[in-house]
Amino acid sequence: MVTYLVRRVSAAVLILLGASFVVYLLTAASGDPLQELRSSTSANRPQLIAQRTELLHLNVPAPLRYFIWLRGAAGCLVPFAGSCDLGKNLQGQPVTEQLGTAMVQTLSLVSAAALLAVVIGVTLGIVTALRRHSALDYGVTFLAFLFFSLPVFWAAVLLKEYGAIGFNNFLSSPRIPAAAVLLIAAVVCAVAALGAGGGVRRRMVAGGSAGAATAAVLTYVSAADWFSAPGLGPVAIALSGAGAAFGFTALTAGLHNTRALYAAFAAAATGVASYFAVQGLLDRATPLMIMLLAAATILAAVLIGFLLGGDDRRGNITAASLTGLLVGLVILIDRFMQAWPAYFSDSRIHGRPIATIGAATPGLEGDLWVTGLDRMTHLLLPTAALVLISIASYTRYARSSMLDVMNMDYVRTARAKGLPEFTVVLRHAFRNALMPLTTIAAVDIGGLIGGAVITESVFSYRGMGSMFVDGLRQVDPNPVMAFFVVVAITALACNLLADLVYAALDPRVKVGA
Amino acid sequence: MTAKPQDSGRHPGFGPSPSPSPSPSPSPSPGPSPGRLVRRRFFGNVGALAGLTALALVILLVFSAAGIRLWGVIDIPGWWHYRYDEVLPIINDAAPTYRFPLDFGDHPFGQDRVGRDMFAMTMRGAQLSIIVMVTIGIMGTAIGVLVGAAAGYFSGAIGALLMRITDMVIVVPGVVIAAVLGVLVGHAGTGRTVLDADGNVTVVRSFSDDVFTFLQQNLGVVLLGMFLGLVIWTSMARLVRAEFLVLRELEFVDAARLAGASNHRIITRHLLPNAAGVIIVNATLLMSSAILLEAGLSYLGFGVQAPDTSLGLLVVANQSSISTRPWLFWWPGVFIVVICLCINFIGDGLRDAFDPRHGSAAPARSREAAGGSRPVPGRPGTSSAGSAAEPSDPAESAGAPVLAVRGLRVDFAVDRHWVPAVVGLDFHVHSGEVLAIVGESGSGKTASSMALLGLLAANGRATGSVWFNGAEILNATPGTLRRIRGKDIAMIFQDPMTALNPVFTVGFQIVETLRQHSAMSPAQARSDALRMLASVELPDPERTFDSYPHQLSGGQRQRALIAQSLCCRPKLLIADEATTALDVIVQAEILDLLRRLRTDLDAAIVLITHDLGVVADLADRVIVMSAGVAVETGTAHGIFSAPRHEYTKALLQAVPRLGRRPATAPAEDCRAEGPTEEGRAAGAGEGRGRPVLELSGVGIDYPGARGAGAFRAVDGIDLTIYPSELVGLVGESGSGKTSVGHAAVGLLPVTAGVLRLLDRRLDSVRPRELRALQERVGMVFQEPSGSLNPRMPVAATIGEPLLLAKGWRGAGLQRRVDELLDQVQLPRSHRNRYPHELSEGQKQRVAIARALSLSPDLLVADEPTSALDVSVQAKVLDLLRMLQRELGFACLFITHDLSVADSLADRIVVLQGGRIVEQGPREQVFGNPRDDYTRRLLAAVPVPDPDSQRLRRNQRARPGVNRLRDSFRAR
Repeated sequence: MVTYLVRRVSAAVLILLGASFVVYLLTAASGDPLQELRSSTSANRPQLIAQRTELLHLNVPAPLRYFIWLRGAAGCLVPFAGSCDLGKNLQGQPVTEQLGTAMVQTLSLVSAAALLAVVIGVTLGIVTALRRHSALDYGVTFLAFLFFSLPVFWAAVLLKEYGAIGFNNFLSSPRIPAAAVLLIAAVVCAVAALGAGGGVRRRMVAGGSAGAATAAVLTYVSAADWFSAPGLGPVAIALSGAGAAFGFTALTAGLHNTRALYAAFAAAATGVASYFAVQGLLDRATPLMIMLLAAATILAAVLIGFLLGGDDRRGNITAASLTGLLVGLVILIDRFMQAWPAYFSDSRIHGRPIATIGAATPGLEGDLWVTGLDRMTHLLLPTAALVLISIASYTRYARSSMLDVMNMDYVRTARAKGLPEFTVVLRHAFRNALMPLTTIAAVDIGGLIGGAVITESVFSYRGMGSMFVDGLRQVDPNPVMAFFVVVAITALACNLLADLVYAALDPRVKVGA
Repeated sequence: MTAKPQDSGRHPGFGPSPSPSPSPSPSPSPGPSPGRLVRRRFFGNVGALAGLTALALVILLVFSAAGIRLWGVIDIPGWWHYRYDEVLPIINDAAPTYRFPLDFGDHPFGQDRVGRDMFAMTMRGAQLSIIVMVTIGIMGTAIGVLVGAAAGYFSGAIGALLMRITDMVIVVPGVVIAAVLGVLVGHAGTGRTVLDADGNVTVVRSFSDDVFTFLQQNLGVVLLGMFLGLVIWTSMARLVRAEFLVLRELEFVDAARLAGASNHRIITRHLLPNAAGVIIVNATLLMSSAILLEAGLSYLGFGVQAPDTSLGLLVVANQSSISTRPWLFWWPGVFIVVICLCINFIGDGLRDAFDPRHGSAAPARSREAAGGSRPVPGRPGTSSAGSAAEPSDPAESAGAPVLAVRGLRVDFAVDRHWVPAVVGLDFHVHSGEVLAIVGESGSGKTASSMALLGLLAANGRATGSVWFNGAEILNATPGTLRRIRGKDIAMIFQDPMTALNPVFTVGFQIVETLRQHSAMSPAQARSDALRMLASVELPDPERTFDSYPHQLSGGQRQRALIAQSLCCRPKLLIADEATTALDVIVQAEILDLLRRLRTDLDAAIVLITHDLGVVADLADRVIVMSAGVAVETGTAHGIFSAPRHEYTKALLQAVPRLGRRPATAPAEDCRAEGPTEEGRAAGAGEGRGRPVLELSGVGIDYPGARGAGAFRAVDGIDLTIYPSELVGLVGESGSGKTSVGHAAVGLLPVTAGVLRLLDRRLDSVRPRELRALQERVGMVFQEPSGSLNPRMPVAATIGEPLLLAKGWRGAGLQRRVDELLDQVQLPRSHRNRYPHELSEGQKQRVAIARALSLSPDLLVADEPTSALDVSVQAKVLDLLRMLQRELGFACLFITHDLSVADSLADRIVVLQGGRIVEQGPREQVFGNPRDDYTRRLLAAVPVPDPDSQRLRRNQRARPGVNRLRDSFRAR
């Protein structure tokens, strides 16, 4: 294992050295940093030129200049020594300063988008693989291709224009007209009927109930002016807790394991009870406190699972913990919603909460919940744009990987054992279909940062993308190199991680062999 | 991964043509050529067709409207009356003038801020975007294919280096390098502005600036496309490399190398045509990302430069107008989306057309995998005969049968038609009884067993009646079936390698079954599972419980699978080719296990197999199936001793039997205790000339993984083959027999000892001499489908050695090919067929013809019949025997099947674990084996005769006694 890691990391370092050298030369060749000074007419032009030459070591030929840069960059490997030096930009600021904030911005954007894209894309892929050659399959395939064909900057502008501004307009007087309710319900009804599978009867029941539920919820939401003061309340939390209890028990222990089911329900009930208990605490919440609460939730779930006893305590504990965590998450969402009116009416928001530019509202003050909401509303559009364009490939890959696996002999064996289709699909097929997906996800996430360049530019997000683009436009080599190094290291790390995950998922792959 | 090529059941139409039945050779009708098949599937795909049509229309529109101008030579004006850079007076507030349906007006897409016509600009932008896209696509494909092919074919240092370079390019997102390159292209031609001391501005141009300017003026955006192509080839390279890594392991590559093909020829003639599908599909996908890349770069300002325009540039120029004049923003975006969408649909259609299974291109390896779903013409006339013939045994009909099947019919949907796979099948089976369903591939035996439990593929349907335990279960509700599956009816599948889930431990999978069907604690289930593992005689149940399937041997895996099937004490066990993938000794053990389980559990067993020996060993009653119909039903004894149906008779006739062939050498040799094997071998060789092949102390190593030592596949082998001698090399899987065969013809290097081929030491010959030597040997490979290049017609395959070694062409070559076709008894009209238009037996004949084309002195035949049905095998063996008599070549015949070796060879060499345990004349090795391993091997071979098989079984139980010897002596 250790030798494997050492080998992989040293190979990665070599690749990094080679690639950075090439990119350094390309960057150097892409323009002359002195160009603007040369044609300037200011009196101290020679001094300025000399100063910049000094700053960027322009008197050294580019292939040698690389090694000056490399020596500084090598300092970054020493932790906490403060010796990290990625050069200075044209203004004379160290690039590392600029990079620190930009990296946080971009990584938060990219990781949220990647996570959502993987979850949604893979789910859609599985569903379409199981409902192959159905209208749902064709519909999702078409949409996947459509999203795949969207230029991100174009889609992003459309999102800004029609999504954000339209939604903000809607929020100023949140009433859903009856026609819109009916239309949305009809769409949900159609999708549910197509996705349900089975006979006509089953499809009609599924479509009808889903459509009716949607219509009811929308009507209630509109009538109760829910969008002005959103919240879930104990009833919705209890309902989602019950659903989670059923779902997680079926997924982990199986519904026939009644003790596990009881444990999950007990965890859900405890969660609903604690909803009232923690409200006061949450008003003074800090990130650490939320971590501690999550730990407490797991502890409580373990206790419940253990106390219920039975043959399979581990099964109880798993079902209870997952249910407990989900209820906790729902309580958190509820708390964010409670902060909405305060956020919405803040003078800096002007009642138009969905932001189209930047990463945060400048000068906004508030507690964890209000600033959190502010970050989310700013992340919403760029994340949506990134998810939209990257979801398609996950859907297609998951679908074809799942189709391959569903044909394997061991899936037939699992069916012949009498396992329910749910278990066959999720435990036996999906687990195997996941393996090729890890590789694809790693490559994709590595590439997503590069792809975020355009998204950031559309949303004026001051991340690494803008650092790169500005650097290139202003012929400022060091920020460009810094961007490249971060992107390359992320890509290499993702690849290594994918191989390790692959080895963890597939017992046949031996790391270190 | 040990992924088996998948069942082609979902796409029966794509499977190989129906296997021949033993009734006089049905040569499959010449199907459409691969190219036409791909075209048909592509044009049958609505999405792809729509995409292609739309793209063609867009291209036509764009290029005809904007006109075509090339290097000032060609200048065709477009039909649109405005140019993209004309500034016009703004009319009607610049709004689009298009009115439904056909009134375009003056500015259908409106005008931009300065009054330019948006339609003209969009057309021009789309034109440039398409040109850039195509250039990127061609450039990227070319580089990707070159790098990928080289990296995949030369796996050594060159391959590693190329992959590192690919990694380096992958590490940097395409848009980054592209942006840098775009800036580079943009700036490079302009030279440097220098202000001299007097304040005068001068532009200093270097030679490279001049070159760039020249290129830019003459290539324009094509130059940009070529540069972008430099960064976008990596995915193509990876895919082509992966494809090459698979393809180069196929036997037809070895065959081509043996035929004298150079690396260049192998890559261009054998590998690239087979990778064409992957390349074409990815080239289209490359283009779809290329247009997005160009648009993105132009958006950032690094792509196409103003004053010219592209779709991306138009989007960025008009994005601020979205709320005031949305049409300016919409149209260029819509064009990007439409072009990209069309290409994606075309690419998807191509992928499906080239590989409808979304799977690997490797030919199927399993013999029965596709059997159930092959289209089989029904023979309704014989079905009633089959059912009427079912004997009613008074002893058995006393109790109700566990399973009763009446009028079972299975169809598969092929091209929207129901094609029958099983017609009118009737049978029943009682507790404690073993019913065998026997048939060759395509007979429908697997389809019928799958239908029982509702496990047919999605395109299959079953009708009729299946009574189990007094209830109808055919097409029962999923819930009902689920409760029966695994609990009351269990199945064992053919391939233990793939039937267990690779990512879960054996124990987990058994516990899962147990807990599914009865409420029990994990601890209880674990102890039950351990007991089951012990009862199937696995040596270390605890260890097996915690093992993953890949950590067990084939036999152990099959035992674990049986333990899983039996853990809920089923009333009926369906064993589908349960021992086919196993070596004979393991097979005998598994059969013993099944026999014991039958009595222990009093379960009914349905045994599905092609192997009459297995049937004779285990079955009480037998159903013989052919082409979806039960042709004969009866007791095992009756079927074997007095077959009534012609098919059964032919089948029994075709099975090679151990000890059936009359002794060729003087009979006293067998009885004589005289000369040793070595002495005899030497004696046999005297007067027969110099040996053709001579191995002394040969060892063959496979390089181990990094860090691990090399794996020695063959160790210290002494083997000599004289002219005209037929030597049978027998051994189980992993015994090294294939390595010996490959080494003998110079495909594998020898790491120890001396190998002399035609009196030359192979380790010291120069490549050219090796070529000359290889012209005098021929090789027939195991897999008929794998050893013929799917993209080469028969005549080219057979003629390749002649072309390369002798330089024959034209009429001479054609004459010789016809002669060879005659020799292997194939019609001359087959010369233009492709391998997929031939049956398995015919393919193997083609392979034999190729091996014999240069009239070799030595023929190495590596399991040439193991993938064939018995009746086909019999014919191929007859052919080989006849050709050998006629042409007099020496032959090294490698096989795992002792009966085949017995029916063919003069001398037998027994290999075990890479060492020769025994060699000598056939009569001696099989009649009077000296080595214990040979004895065990012989005892384990099931004989297709229930009575003698029972005798042999009993003998086997008493070690040290071997009745087979007596059967030899009796003759």
